[in-house]
Formats: sequence, C-alpha cells, structure tokens
Amino acid sequence: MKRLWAPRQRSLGTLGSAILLGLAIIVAGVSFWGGSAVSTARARAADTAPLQEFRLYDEVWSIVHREFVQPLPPASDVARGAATGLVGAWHDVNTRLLGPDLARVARQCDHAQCTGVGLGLRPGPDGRILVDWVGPAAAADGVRPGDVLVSAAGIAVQGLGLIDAGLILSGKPGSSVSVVLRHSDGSTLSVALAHATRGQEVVSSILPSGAVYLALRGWPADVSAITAVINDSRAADTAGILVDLRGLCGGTLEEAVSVAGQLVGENVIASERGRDGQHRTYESQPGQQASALPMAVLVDSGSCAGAEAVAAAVRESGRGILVGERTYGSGATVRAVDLSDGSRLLISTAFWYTAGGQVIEGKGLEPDLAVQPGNDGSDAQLAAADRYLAEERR
Amino acid sequence: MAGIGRMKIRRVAIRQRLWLALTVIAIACAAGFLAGCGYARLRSPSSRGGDLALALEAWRSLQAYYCGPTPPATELAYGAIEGSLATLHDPYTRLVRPAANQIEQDSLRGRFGGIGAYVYQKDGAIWLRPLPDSPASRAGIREGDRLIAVDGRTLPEDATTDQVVALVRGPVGSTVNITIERAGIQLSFAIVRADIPQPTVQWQMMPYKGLPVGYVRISLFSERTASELDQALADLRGGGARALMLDLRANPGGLLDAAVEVASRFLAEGDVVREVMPGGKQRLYSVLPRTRTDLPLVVLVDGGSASAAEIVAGALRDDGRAWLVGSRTYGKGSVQYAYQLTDGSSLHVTAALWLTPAGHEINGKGLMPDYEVAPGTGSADATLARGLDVLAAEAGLVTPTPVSGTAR
Repeated sequence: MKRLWAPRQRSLGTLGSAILLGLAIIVAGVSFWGGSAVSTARARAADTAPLQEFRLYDEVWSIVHREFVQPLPPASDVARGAATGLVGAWHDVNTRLLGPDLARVARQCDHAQCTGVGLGLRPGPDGRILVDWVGPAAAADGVRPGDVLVSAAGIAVQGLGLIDAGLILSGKPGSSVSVVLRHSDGSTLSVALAHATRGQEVVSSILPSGAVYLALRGWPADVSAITAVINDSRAADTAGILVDLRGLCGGTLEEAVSVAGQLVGENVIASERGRDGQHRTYESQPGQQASALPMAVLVDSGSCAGAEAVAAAVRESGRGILVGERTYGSGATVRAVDLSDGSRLLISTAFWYTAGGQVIEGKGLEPDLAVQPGNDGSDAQLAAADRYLAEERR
Repeated sequence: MAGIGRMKIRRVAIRQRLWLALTVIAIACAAGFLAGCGYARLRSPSSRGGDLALALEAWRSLQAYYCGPTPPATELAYGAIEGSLATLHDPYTRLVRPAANQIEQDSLRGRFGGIGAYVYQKDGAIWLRPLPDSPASRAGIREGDRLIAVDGRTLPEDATTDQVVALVRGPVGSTVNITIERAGIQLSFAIVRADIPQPTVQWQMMPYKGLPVGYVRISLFSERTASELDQALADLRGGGARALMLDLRANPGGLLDAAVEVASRFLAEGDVVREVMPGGKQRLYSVLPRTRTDLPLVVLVDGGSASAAEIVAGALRDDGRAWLVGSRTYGKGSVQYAYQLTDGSSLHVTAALWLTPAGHEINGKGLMPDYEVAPGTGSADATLARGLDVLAAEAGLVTPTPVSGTAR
C-alpha cells in the first residue's frame, strides 16, 4: 500500500507542476502584454498628449544617432540640454533651468537666510560678470571693482547671467565660497570669500557736500537701520539723501516695499500680475513718514529686481531722480520646482509693475541723469548725483 | 488511524502546493507585467534619442505655474532640439528652422547680373573673353573681340576694366547693347543680363627677382574651379612661369570633388584626403590622373582658409609638394549631411571628419604654416612677399631667412 501511494503521489505532482508551469507562462504572457500596454498608454498620455510636435525631436535624434561622427554625450546631458532648450523658448530671464551644481547652491538657501560675500556685480561684455563695488571684507581679500568674476564654487561664471552669478556667491552666514577673479591687469586672484553676517546691509555716511549717503549692500531683515539714517538726516542740516542701489540684485517684492516705504512714506509701491490677470498691489505701511529732503538714487546695469522696484517707487512718487545707467530689467516672483535629475526649474509666476504701471521685466529703468561709471577709479555717478542734490538745495 | 493520518498529510500537502502554485502564478504575473513595462519603455520613442522625459517634466510645471502664455508647441520642440544638439559641442550639427521668406528673398528681385564674359585690358584697349555657355557666347561674342561701346556710349580712351564692368552689369533680365570690333568690322549685340556665377580662379604673372612666378588665386571650390584652374595653368605656362604661387587665403572651401581635382593638378599619386566616418570607417580620396605641373609651388593660407582649402593645402604639404606660408588655417574639417525634416526645417549633421593624408585632423585644429606670417603685419601684403621669398629660394635663387619656419 505504501509503495502504491508514493508513485501515484509523485505522478500527480509532476502533472500538477506541468499544469502550474503552463499556467504561469500564460499568466506571465498576459501580464507582459498588459504591462506593456499600460506603460505605452501612460507614455503616450505623458508624451504625445501635450506635444505632437515633439515627434520632430525623435526624428532629429534618430538621424544624429545614425550619422553623427563623434561619440555622443551621456543621455543625461542630452536630456538636460533638451530641457534647457525647451525652457529657453519662454524667453524670460527668470524662467530658467539651474543645473544640478547651481541647484545645490540654491537649495541651501531654501530654509536658511543666505547672504552674499559683500560684492556688487554688474553684467559686462560677452556674458562676463564684473565686480561693481567691493565691501570691506572682500577688499581686504584683494578683490577690486572692475574685476572679472571667472568662477565661484567651481562653477564657470561666463554666460551664467547676473542673477545666477549672484546666486552662486550666496550662502549661509559664516560659510565661505571659493572664487577666481581676474584683475584688469590680467592677473588672477583665487580666494575664499566669507558670506556676510546679517545686519550689515545698510551702509551710511555723510558726504563732504553734506548729503547723507545710504547704500544697500543686501536686503535687510529689518529696516530700522534705514529709519535711523533718515531720522538723523532730518535732525542734521543735510543737503539731501543719496541712495546707492548699484550692484544690488534679488530681494522679494515685500522686501523692496519695506525699504521703499522708508524712503517715500505711505504709498503704493508696486504691483504684481500673475496668471489669468491676478493682480496684487503692494503698499508701504501706514504711518511711515517720508523725508522732505531732495533725493537721488544711484542705479546701474547691476541694479535688478528689488532694487529696480525701490528706484521706480522713489521716482514715481516724485521724491527723487535716478542717476547712473539703465537698470538690468528683471522683476518677477519666481517659483522653484526641483526636477527628478537634481536640476531646478525656476518659473516666473508673476511679473512686477511699478506704481505707475510700467513692467520691469525685460525693460529696466532709464535714469533721469545718465552717467557712465568713471574708468579712472573715481565715482563719476556719485559725483553727478551729489552735484544734483547741491543744485536742488540752492 | 493510518488512513486518517495519510489524508491529513495529503490535505496539508495540497494546501502547501496550492500556496506554492499561487505564489508561482503571482510571481509570473508580476514579472510579466514589469517585463512588459520595461519592454514598452525601451521601445518608446522618447528613449531612442536623448531623453525627453526631463523636458516634459519641466513643460508640465511651466504649464501649471508660468504667469504668461505658453509659447507655440513648435517653438518648444525647436528649443528642445536645439538645446539637446548643443550638448554635442559641434557648431555644424544644427537645426535650420524653416524660413518661408527665404525663397522670395532669393528670387531675381534686386539682383545684379552680367553677360558672362571676362573683361581684360591689353595694348591700351578693352577686350572680351566670353565664358562657355554664357549669354555673351550665345549672343555671338568671341574671344578677342575688342569692346568699343556699351549701350551706344563709346568707351573713353582711359577706361579701366572696373569702369567697364560697372557699365555692363545691371539688373538680371534687362538688356545691354554691346558694340565690338572684330577684324576691322563693328558689330552690335543685344544681350540679356543673367545671373553669372563669379569666377573662382584668378591668375596673373608676378615676376619676382627675375623669377617668372605664376600667381593663382582660388577664392572658392565650385564645379567650375577645376576647368578654370586648367585654363589658368595653361595660360601661365604659356606666359613662361617657372614657379607657382597658389593663394588659398580667405577661401571658405566648397566642394570636396573640386578640392580633389585641384590637388590632382599638382600631385602625381597618393591620397588627397581621408574621410573618417562613425565607427572609425575610413574612405580615401586618391589623386586623380590629370595633367599636372611640377613647377615649384608655395601655398598661401590664413585664418580664412577653411574646409576644401585646408584639404588642398594639407595634401600638398603632406606630399612635400608645397610649403605653406601665412597663418594658421580655420580648422573646419568636417562633412555635414543635410536632412529635410517633415516640418520643413532641415538638420545638418556632422557625419565625417577630414584628415590630411598623413593623418592630421583638420577639424578644430587647422594647419600650421611652414613659414608663419602674423596676419595683418603692415599694410603691404607681407604674406605674399614672404611667399615669393620662399618660392625664390625653392626655385634655387636665394636662401630664405626663416622667421618661424617649422621643419616638416
């Protein structure tokens, strides 16, 4: 009996295994078909639903694959190139793709208040970035106005644009960034520059003419330092107020409004217009008192975004004039979206408008008194503004 | 007892097998599904070239958040294509967007034409030499006809060729009246001006320190260059040239076949150029059996000598046939194929690289001259003077003073 059971059991087992195997193969086959169908459908929904025109991309790359004589770059590079090119079709300086290196720097500042290294920047010829003004710490490290910023944090700067050049110089206070600069005599300087501590953004002095000089070297967390300077100017017998916004970039519209409020008092400062005509007006806090003294604002091609909003507010409120050069022309509220490959997409979600309804983005502000920077080391723009204040007072 | 025991065992065994079967089928199902997904992804078009997934990811976010309108889809596709091609770091592999106005711009509107004849000065008179199959030759102008008047106005005694050319040329399609003298008889011809391709070869005798040098300048390599060069060489040989100066400066190149033909006028055998294709495959372009000249030869090159001009210069130098005098050449040694795309744009792809017969890669490097003359030295043609100097030495007259001569 025992001997009879065992073989039968075995033979049943073999049959079962065969059926099981067959079933498994059929199931696998059906699943394979199902999986490929699902995946194709998803790919189609994702790829071709938005853009039939992208078939041209495949057409191009099938030719390149077949014909191009040199080895092809890694697929990830090509993918990023395609994404960069696509984003470039928006033709908007603020809407752009930051590569992984730049995105890493930008992400540091998501949750920490970042500062610069005490350097103003301005765009130069051929996509170069020049040093506009130099704070005391960077000056001690050997940085001079007019130097070309060659690289920062190991990232080549030429062609990056003013805003991203400023971005790679920024970081958490107390940390530092290694930069390479080229002096006007052709010699280069490699130096680690420390990120400034907060609270040093407002620089003020009394000029020999008696005017108050107020420079912004960043966006202050609280504007009481500006209030103090304005109050002092009221108390003393000053010729006027000279606000230096050259080489000042970035800032949010809120920051710009709180600074502008100190200069022009209670007023509509700016507005932003977003999707579908969404409109938001920014006004300075009630109770802010404007100084009645004549005012001149120094601007140059390195003055961008918040600096342009402040400058426009001073001019359009009738409080003062702009002296220097046409400003950079960038004013947008930007949203960051991190992409799957580690790069970061920045998207303009609203454009900034001056109180007078002029768009800043792509336009910039023309100065009332156009003065080129002196190339002999003297500050021709400051001198011209100072002269203007002296004449206004007379 | 024994039976119950066996049944229990069987029930347990069946349950185990059921579980095993379910597990196997579940695994088969999952494996099949994943394999299917992977297979579909492999076959999907966006993974064939560079991946578009990242661009689409960006596109979706921009659709969701951007404060203005989305650019037209064709602009996005062009942007993605141009951005991806930029990663090849080859300026010649590029998308040429369709330009609807191009054909209109290229129409006859506003173009100047001529009658298709050389105008030359000899013995104080202006003479004509019609090009084959040109309006002038079709109208009956023959070589050696002496030009008397244009549109009824008799040429002044001291007329220069430039002045005459300015009179003869005019809008394409208009008519010009040419009066000539042939064997003492005056004849008039009404010739309709046409678009005449500019000659690509110019030549003249240029005696230097008693050496009769034949100077030949090739400005472009076209279908007509080889026959023009034949005429030039025959003319110069007839003029008693004992050395040749081939000026390839500011020559942007042209047809590869024309370069091979030109090189074959100076070389006996060997290769003119090597073409390297994807995967390292090579194609050799050999010297063609043509009437050739053995006269001492110097080739003038500069930063404007590109492509076919570099091929000719490289072949003549590698063979030891000629010295190169001038400055480093442009460094454009690649072949592009143009593909018409479905939307009317075209794609230029660098599909081959050119190497000189000795294996020097032209692309991005250019050719260093044997005798370097810095471009723009002085107002006189310093390169030409140096070339004549070298040529005179080559012909055994004097020894050149090397400035920065590099040994071959």
